[in-house]
Amino acid sequence: MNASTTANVAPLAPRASGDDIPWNKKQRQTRTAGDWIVDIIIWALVAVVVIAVLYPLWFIIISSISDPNAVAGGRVSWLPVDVTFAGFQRIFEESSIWVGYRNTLIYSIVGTAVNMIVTIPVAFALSRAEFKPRRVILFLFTVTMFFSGGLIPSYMLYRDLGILNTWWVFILPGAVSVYNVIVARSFFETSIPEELHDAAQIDGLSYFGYFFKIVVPLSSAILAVIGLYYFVGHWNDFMTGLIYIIDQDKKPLQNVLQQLLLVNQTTSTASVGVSDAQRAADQMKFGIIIVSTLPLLVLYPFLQKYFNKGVMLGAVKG
Amino acid sequence: MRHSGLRGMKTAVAAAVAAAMTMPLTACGGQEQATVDENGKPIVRIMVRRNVTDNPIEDMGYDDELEAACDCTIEWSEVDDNSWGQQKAPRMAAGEFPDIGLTLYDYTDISRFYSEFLDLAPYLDQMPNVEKYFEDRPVALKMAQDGDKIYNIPSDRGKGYRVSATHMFINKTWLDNLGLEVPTTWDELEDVLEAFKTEDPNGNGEADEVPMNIRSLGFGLWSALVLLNSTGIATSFMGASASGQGFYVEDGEVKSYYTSENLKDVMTFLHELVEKGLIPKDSLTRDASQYDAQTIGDGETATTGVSIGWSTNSEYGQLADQYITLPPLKQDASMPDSEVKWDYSADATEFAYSVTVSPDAPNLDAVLKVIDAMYGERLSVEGYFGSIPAVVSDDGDHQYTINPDVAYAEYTDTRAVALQDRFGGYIPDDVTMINDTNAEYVTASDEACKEALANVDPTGDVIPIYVRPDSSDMETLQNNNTSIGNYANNMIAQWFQNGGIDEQWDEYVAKLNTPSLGLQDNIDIWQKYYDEAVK
Amino acid sequence: MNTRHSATVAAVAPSSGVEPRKPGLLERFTDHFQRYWQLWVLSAPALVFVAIFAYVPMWGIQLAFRKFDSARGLTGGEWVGLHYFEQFFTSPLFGEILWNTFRISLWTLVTGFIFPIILALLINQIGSSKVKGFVQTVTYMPHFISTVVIVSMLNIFLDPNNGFIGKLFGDESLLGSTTAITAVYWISEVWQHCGWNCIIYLAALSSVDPSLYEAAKIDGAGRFQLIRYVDFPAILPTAGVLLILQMGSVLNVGFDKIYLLQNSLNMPATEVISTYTFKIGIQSAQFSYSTAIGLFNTIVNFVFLITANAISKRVSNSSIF
Repeated sequence: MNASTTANVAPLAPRASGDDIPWNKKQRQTRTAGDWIVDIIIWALVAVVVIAVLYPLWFIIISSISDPNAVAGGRVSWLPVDVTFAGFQRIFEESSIWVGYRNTLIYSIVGTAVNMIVTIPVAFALSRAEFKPRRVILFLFTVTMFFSGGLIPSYMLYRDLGILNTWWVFILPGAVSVYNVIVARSFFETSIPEELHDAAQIDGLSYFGYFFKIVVPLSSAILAVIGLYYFVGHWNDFMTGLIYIIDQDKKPLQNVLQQLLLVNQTTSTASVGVSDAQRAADQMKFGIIIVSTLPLLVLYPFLQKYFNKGVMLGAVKG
Repeated sequence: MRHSGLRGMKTAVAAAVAAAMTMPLTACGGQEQATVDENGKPIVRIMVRRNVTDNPIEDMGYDDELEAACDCTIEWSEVDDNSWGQQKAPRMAAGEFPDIGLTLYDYTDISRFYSEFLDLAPYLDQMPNVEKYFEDRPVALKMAQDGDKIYNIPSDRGKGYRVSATHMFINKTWLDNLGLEVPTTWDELEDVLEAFKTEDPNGNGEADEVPMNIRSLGFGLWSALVLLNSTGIATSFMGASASGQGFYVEDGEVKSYYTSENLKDVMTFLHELVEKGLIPKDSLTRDASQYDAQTIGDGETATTGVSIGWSTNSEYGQLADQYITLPPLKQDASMPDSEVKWDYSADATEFAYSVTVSPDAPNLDAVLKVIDAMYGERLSVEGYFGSIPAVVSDDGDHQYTINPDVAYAEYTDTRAVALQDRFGGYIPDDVTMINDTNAEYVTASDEACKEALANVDPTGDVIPIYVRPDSSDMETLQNNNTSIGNYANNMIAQWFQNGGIDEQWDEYVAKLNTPSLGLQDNIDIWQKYYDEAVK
Repeated sequence: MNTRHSATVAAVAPSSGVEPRKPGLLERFTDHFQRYWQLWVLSAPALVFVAIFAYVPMWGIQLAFRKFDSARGLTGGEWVGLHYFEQFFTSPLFGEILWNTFRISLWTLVTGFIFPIILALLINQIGSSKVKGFVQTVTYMPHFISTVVIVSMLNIFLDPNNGFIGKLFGDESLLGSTTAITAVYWISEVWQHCGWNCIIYLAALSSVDPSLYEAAKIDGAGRFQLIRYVDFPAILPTAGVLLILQMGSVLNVGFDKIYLLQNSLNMPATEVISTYTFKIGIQSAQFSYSTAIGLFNTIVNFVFLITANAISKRVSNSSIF
């Protein structure tokens, strides 16, 4: 029985990487002038895209080590001006950033784990065409994407649940993203061949067995994508900390950053000399962007391989 | 066998689901908050909005003295301004009010949620320090009173802050370098700015001077519209004042700045300056850091000639010594001195925030003791400037000295080592503070405006800050103001940048007077409350 | 046991259609749960979370029809029917706000839908996997930058005096222009999210069976034909679902960004429903009025979603429910 399942899957085995797209090797001798033109156009477009995206990022990097007055005065364009690492130095001395860092790491990792445990099974269940209630469930889910009680009823609910000003508020209310459920369901429907389910039934696998033994292992691409969606969502979540958290030591990184960057924008008092804090914030601004986004940039390449791996799929249909 | 197996599974699953559903419910078990600590002392919960929250109040001597005074345990929660802006509305709607709210609520909140604020009038005799405060400072009592009820007690940071919140500065060093006099009229100012632009006053050989810098064009703090005071009417751009919504008084009649000829004159003048390149054309769209780069700069070379702010120190940092306050300008030379006015915001600046009490506070006696202690002299000083002896020393005879090395290690004021302006308390006039540099700078900055400020009648030229519409009128005012501002503020911004005010003015006034925008309704509302309060 | 279980499933499946006797309701329920209880278990956690965190707070919507009364709690206020809706519809700002919301979101929606597809097809054409990885890595990066930072970058880049983009447009700031601000908004959105949003399409493209390309080549297909007839159909189902979902946000403009972009010059073009609701609700604490405006927004979005779903179902047979 196991043999039959494996036999079914074997022909669909993963493509190794992008290299074996057919026209790269075998077909090269048949290239026409048209193909060359297409190639040139593609490379030109790619170059434009890369420069358009990279230059602003490059600007942040050089600004982070340039004198802040030179940056605000518009004297920084291609290379750093009056190189200084004072901004970074201040960032590393600022303990609140590291507390925020720790919190965000916890919220993001635990939060994403809960997200995945809740989202992927329901997406699978909803992908089964023979599961009739799925239309109603999906409808009820989708409604929530549009109708919400709003801030105040939610606030009162969280208070009654006792999760205000605790780290649960980062994890529980957002445990299901209906959008991600739909994306994952769509993947299961279109990319896991129905023949596998038939084979699994013949092999006597229950839904649990089919889901855990066959569907999940074949879905690393969508797991990586959804996981990354959730993780980035947690990492950049700013409103939750702003509205539901009071204690400074529970604030996530984004809120700490906001405080550091917005320190000049306290609108409420006329009594303050903002100069020093403002200057420090200016100097740190660009460095903070780098420090706070770096972990995500580092994370992505690890997951990227899943995207590029030729995850099973389609073969049976084709 | 299959059946029983299935049933077993089902039961397990049902149990799991039930567990999952009740999990959040059990989490709320700990909701009931204790009202006494383990030693049986009452607990008082105080929430305060602070400038910086990385230096807890619980670690300050101030907290210990306060606890000793009330014989209770105080639980502080500190919230930063940014979060409070978002959390305030849901917290109020959800009925979450701390025993004592420090600087959390203003009178708009109180009028809307009156049932959540305790009327303190019957308890005044239990708070002798507060009673004495109201005797000393009748304006504070007026700000506190709502009919015969007292829902909030303003804090008073004392004579050091009995100043206008807005000042206009000019670079004296530049004037001296170019051999120019301090301007006294709009025309003279324009000439000076021209010279700043063309004659390299900072002497670095580059045309990097910004003759005049402005932050904004609203009816708020540090707005270029304070020039309205040059035209014979007064502003009060601080706090939740009627002036901040665009209303002023002339001969007992409430009027709107929006439709006044005075505004037209100011905008014509400002556009002229923009047109000649004397004010940056993008002033209204750039971000704050560019403004600061041009005012504070690198601390060595000044690049700004004239700007509007709080004090020379806060505006220019290390370059402060180059600047002086520009005495309020006349619109033109023919104007008599007695008609020049300046932004009257002393009350709002001195009594910036207030203390409120929740009617549900379980230990009211302790709460009253805490508040009374706060309004005593010593704890007021400690609350504002820092604990004794860690930050401030008590020299006796109502004199206190701030240790600048400790107090100003992080910021130029005491926000990190004390509650600073977010304190509840009263600093009486006979207290002398040594080394209160923030007050020294702003008082010095205010000096040049004293003469013009004397021309302002605090009840005849502006609607006093203690004039308060009730909540339903407040709502009408706000909705109308949103519509009015949406149209008018844009027109003002357009005129500032692109001009055209002469051609568009009549049409603009006509549109503002359309009944559906509600400008007249708002004037009527303010007139009603103004008359009640003043006449 | 597994075998027997699935055998039962197999045996029951065809019989249910044939069975002449109409089973009772209870029987049908038992039958359903016997067959699908495992799917119910897999769905249970999500159902619980959605019920608690999405449906429970929905009772607060009635606030839109009641006058908020602090003394009597959230739902104790006097019933005023459609008063707050009327107030919004007759507000002098109504037309302007609605048009702004619609214009900005439609631009963002359309460009935000098309550009990721183009980019995905483009990246998929890159032969070298190293270059491909590089381009992908580069284009997704801006996605991680927070909104506040993006806006302050826009301020710097569009500065009419010093900004490298702003300099090209004379001495008037693009950020202060009521005509340019929409473009500033959607172009920066595309810049930030295009690379990221194309990940999902690349995932779909990576699942295309290589033999399809071979077959097409043999049929004499050129590069464009491969894109047109192999790549494009491969991402179409995903694209369809995403488009429907986006149609449901036709009146949604991300709050943070437009709020931070607002200034007194561009306000006539940037006041949208979300910023207006914020000002009314959070800043001036008029909970009923702001709930009503929010509800109006929601209903319009929902109508669009349902319509898009129905059209899509008829045209391409892909739908989300």
